[in-house]
Amino acid sequence: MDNELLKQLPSAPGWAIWAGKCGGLLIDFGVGLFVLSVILWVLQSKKPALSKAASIAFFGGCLSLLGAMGCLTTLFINNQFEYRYVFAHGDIATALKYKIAGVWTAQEGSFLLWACASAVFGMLAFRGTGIYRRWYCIVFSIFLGCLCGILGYETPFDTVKQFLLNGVLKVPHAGAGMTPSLQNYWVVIHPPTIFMGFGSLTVMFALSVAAMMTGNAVDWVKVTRPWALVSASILGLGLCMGGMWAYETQGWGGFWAWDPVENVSFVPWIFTAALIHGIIVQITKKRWIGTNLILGGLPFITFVYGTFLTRSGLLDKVSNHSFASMDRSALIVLRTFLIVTTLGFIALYVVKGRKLAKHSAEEVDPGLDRENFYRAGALLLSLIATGIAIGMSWPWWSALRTGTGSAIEEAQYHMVVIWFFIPVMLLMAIGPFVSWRKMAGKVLFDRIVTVLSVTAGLTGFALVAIQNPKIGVHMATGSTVRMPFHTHMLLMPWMAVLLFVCFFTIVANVWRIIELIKRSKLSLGGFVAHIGFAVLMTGLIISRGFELTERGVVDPAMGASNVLGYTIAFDHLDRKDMEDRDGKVWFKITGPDGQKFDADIGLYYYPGDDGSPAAMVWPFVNRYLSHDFYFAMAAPEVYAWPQAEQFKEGETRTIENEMIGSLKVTYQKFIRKGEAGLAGTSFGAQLHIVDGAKTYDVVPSLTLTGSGPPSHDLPQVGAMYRMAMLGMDPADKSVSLQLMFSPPLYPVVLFYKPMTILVWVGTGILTLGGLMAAFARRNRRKVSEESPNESTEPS
Amino acid sequence: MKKGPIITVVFTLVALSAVVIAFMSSASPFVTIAQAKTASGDQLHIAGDVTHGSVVADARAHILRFQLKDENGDFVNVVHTGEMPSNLAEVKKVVAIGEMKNGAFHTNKLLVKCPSKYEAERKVASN
Repeated sequence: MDNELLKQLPSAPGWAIWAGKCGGLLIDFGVGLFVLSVILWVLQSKKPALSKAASIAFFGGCLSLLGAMGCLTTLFINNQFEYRYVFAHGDIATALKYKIAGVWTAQEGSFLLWACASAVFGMLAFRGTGIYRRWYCIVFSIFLGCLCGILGYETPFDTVKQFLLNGVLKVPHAGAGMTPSLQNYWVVIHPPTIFMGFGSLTVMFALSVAAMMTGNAVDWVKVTRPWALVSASILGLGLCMGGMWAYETQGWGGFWAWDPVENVSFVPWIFTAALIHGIIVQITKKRWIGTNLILGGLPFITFVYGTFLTRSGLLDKVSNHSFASMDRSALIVLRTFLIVTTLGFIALYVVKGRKLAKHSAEEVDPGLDRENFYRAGALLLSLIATGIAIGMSWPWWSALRTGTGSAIEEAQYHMVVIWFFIPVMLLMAIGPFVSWRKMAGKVLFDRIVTVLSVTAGLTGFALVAIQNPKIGVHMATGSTVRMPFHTHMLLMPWMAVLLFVCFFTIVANVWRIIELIKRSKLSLGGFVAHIGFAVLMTGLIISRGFELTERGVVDPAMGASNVLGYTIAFDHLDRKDMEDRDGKVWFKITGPDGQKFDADIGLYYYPGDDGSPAAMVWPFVNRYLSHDFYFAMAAPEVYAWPQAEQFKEGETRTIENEMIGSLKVTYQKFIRKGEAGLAGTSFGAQLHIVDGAKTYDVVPSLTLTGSGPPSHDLPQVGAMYRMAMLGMDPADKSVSLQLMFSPPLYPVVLFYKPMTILVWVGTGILTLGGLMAAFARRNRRKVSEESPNESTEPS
Repeated sequence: MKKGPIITVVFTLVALSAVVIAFMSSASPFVTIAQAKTASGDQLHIAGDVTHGSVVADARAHILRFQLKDENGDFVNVVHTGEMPSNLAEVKKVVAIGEMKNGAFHTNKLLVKCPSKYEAERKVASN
């Protein structure tokens, strides 16, 4: 930056310099305190008195991370753009909530958020860890120490050296701001929620390792269960919030795209769900000890693997998605941690876990009992998670194998996952009716026959309602869906199968709640969560499967357009200027049933990479009980001629294209008013235009200004166009002309998405059920710190 | 030996093999522009940069035309007839999915590689 410009900028305030240094130092302290924590906890087995100091070091490290987060947030809120990270992701013009959200919208901040969320859960779970505390703290400290190490290299507390003048740091007036599509309220609440979920995974991993190291693989499941339930609830809520962000901002009318970032979060959630069911079996039947030790570690390990995959740049060349490469040293820390953790966990299980697994009660034979239903459920969930993890890794693995790589598309994920999804839903429906003792098939059938009958009736009613000409979606007859082996299936029967399994799960679990509500409230949370999941899936299946969509163009000069049976007319633009972030394009909509309403699509422009205005568009969603009216728009189409056309004085040319047809333009005369080179001088081109039977004589011109770009006069050409003179050469009097739409065209896409409300309702019920279960299973008694098994722990 | 663990292991191996075979048979290949010009198939993936100033949108015909440059520096004209990306200006890179026809790459699916929250471009040097 120019020294003269720097001189005009204010100097960085002392407190901001201090806050930045403090943030960096707290990260460094974190490394030191976590290393100290590991050392003290290791020595504690011989010197129990070290427990207090070790705990202080552990808590001190956790609080250091929270302190660093406080420093970074303060810098963002107070627009301290002398810091590289704040400059790149903060902006003075944005609302306070987006300044705060700027903290976690990029790599460094999201690592810090992960570290803080893990630290919070590390401290919350600490109290109930009992005999596992020593190894719990060692594992947690190693992990958080590594995250501090990554943050040491990928620090958000670097200042910009170009802003340094004679040793004084200057503060720019504005930052670059966060990516426009991230400026949405979901980005304020979704990342903290989902990172809390990621943070909670460490508790399960640390306790699993601690169980193996202490040789007590019995009590750890009781300690872990509430945290696993909390983890599944928060992570599930975070995943749903991410889907809602995509739905409300991306304009493609969907919630889930099997994006690697989504899969990285989804795989640990599925493994956690499998662990929750495994824990029930272990506590009830004293079996599955080995399985649960593995399931306790998998959510965390798969998340670290996914983090490595998405942030290492490995997917960048072959993935459909764009990811940044990490700092090389930070990447080495992450890679080393992943390898050591994975191999260490496997080795620990082989050496210690397998021996502990032998303490499981004797396995039972296959048959109709609750345990075998849980076994099938946990196995299917683990297979879904593994399948998705394979798909997520496919671009990288195939690139290693073939050099070019290949991608797994959304449809391919659907085709694979659906075959596991149907049996999982059936297990969720039938499982609650199965007893822990073996039962005959006929007895089970008698218990569920009424539920099956109600479900069949509900499914039939739903299908009739969907096809009803008044309230249905009027699907084209013969609509098909892609199936494996390049086959297709009629949509209606396929939807009937999917809706049946979802309704079956809902009805069965509601039924069990009614049966059990007075006898046992402990299981209710689980049943509620099952209902929530099934409602959520019902919403996703109906809103996607029966979705109707059509594209169109709204041309204000031509009047209303008809899209999907809706009449859409441009109304007005509501904005202070082009860069007004609250800018709206208003449309008047008339539905097929005559209902009238207004729709506002967010539209503003920001300077693109090349300085030209780039459009940012937000879709409009009108929510009804029966459906969502989802109205999206591409950037308004301004240019009627795609490129500028060069004309010489006296030249006549006919310009043709598919959008406007044919236009005959004669450039008659070059006009100059004023002295060349002086501000206020204008240059114009006298044009004669023939558009079919109509003719127009116009003079587009540009006028030199004292500073900055010239101003343009764009005369109207009929009702639909304006002519612009973009440039000229006074020497040969040639001009550069471009025909523009006036007003612009609005390319729109409309989605009719039935029953989308169920996605929201299901998310709420799922989260509520998970938290109810966690509350019911909270640890009322601490696991004794003086357990006799402690003596088996190697020193 | 109990039947349960044997059934579990066999089922796991069969299911995972089926997943891998399904992905292998249906995965869509990434190709360079040079490879696309000689390759067959209608699900070819080309990743590249949109050439500045080459984007021409025909809103009425729902056609988007632009020039794509891959990492080898080769160019191809792309004709996109699928859903229009709403925020094309924000796009750094795209993945075009389709086939070569008459010297142009025809696609009805365009994946835009927007800068995600994990992308931190270091536009300015730091201390």
